[in-house]
Amino acid sequence: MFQGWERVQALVNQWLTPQAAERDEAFREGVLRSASVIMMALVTLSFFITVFVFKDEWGVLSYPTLHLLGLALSMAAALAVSRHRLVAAGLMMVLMALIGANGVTLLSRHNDTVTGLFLSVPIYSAVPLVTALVLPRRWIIPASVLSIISYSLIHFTFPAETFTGELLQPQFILTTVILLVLFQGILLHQLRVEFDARLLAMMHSIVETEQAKQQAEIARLQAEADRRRAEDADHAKTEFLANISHELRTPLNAIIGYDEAMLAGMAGVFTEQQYKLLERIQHNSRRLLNLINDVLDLSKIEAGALEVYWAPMEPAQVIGKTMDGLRSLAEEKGLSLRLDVARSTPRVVVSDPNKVEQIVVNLLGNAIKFTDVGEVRVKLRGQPDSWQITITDTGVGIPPQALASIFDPFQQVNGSLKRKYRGTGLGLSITKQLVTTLSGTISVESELDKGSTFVIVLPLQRTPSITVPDNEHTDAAQ
Amino acid sequence: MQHSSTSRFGELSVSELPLSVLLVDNDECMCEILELILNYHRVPNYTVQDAEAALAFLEDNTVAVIITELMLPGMDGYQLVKQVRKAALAPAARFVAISAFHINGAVLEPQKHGFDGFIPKPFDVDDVVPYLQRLVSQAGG
Repeated sequence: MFQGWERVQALVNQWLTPQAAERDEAFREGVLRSASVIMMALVTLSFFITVFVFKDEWGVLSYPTLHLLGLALSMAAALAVSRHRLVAAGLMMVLMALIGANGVTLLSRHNDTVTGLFLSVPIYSAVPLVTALVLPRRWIIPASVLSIISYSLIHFTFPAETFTGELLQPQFILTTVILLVLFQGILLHQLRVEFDARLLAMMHSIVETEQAKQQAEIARLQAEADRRRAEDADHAKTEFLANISHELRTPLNAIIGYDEAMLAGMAGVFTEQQYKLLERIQHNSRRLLNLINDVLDLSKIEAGALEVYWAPMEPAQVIGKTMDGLRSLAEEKGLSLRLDVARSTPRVVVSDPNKVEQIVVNLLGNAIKFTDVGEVRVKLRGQPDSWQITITDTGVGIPPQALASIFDPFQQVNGSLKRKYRGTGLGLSITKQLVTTLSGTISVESELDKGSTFVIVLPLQRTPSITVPDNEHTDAAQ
Repeated sequence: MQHSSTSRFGELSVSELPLSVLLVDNDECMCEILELILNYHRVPNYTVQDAEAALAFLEDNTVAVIITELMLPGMDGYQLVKQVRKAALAPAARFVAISAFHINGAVLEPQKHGFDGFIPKPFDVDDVVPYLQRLVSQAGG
């Protein structure tokens, strides 16, 4: 029994639940589903009252017939709703109201009572209301006009004065008014429910939008804080590297200084064997110092600490000055150091003078180190959208098998050359990274015992840096 | 205050101009090395560990060259130069910065901070005295 009631409830709920996805359609469908069922129930009840309580006569124009018509229309509306013919169902409900109003009036006339005068007016006025609930908006005005027309037609064709006979039959009014008020009450209730639900949904969406905005703001602040933290960490890393660098170099500088002073005879005279050992100390300390400097430079680059400060600079002037600083080094070895500035060289370019200087110092330092006889020559020239530094030496050269990996960290030419010309093997790797941060390219050509030529191509203007993945280090050299 | 002006080693002095040096560095090793070099060349030299001691020294003495480390405890090398210049303690002296912080032996525009020269650490022991002499002769000429 209990289960049976639950099943009925489930069926009722299933029937009352709209299927339409679109909001307005779902609203109309919901109203039609409940209204058609209520109308079926009420019309059936009213039919029995008419037939068995008031024992009305049957005829083409009679209360029982009118009730049967109403029942048929509400059943048809229910059928149309179940098949998603919402407009058809809505039209049937409106038609039912119109037929009810006109039928009641005509029946009153037929029965010679004034009941129709009282009954029909609320039913006519219910037509626009019903339309508003069960049909799309565009039907409301036409249905209202139709209701006015039929009211006018009926009442002006059969004016009230022509009524001769019987008095008001309150029992008819009672049933109909109860039915109408109930129906209107339910419909208005539904309308309010729908209206409130839509308002609530709107409020929810406003709140959600506001929350989304707040969340976006929180996310933005979070990202900002993260960025600042990363910057701080980067700054701390740079500072740490600078401190480490100082701490490592101070004692080493002392060792080099003492040793040099002893070598220079400033601390008395040593035996030849002792001088040789002092020289070893000197050589190894210098090597360690270079290694520390290079490793720190490299880790600075890899930590992203080396930012590019783009500024207008004059290539000939910057490189000329850099070369002056290295001239004594070349002269010491009896090498000539020359700068050729081609006419095509741009007078001013946008780059980072310090980085350009560092690149040239690294390459020139190498060129001088690896050249014993001849010259080191620097050439500058311009191209339509770039400028170029070429550094040529007449040194020992680079064996072909070493060319490909010359820009990799810790790659140095092997064998006897390595023993003679010591370095950290980081210089060219750093140089390549510097060139890359300036959005440039570096390449090398070399012939053993003839010399090497490094070509650096840099942009004329500031351009976004192209990041080079580690496994592509060798591209420029090939 | 360390005070040393005697030449302990070496026979010859390349110094022809009256050169004297005040050295300001808290790194005792570096002071000792520079003393070795300057004594070898018979250059009178005085060593102090910090900027305050240097100012006190200059109240009563005068030198041709003041060599100062840039990073000192308390008042740093830049401030020391500013103070000495402001107080005109050593109007004829040349200022030389000495530091391990440099890019390939060059510090960014020491002149901007009131210095006349710069010695990078580590330095070549043979270069120091000729460099100082050049600075002093430039000042004289």
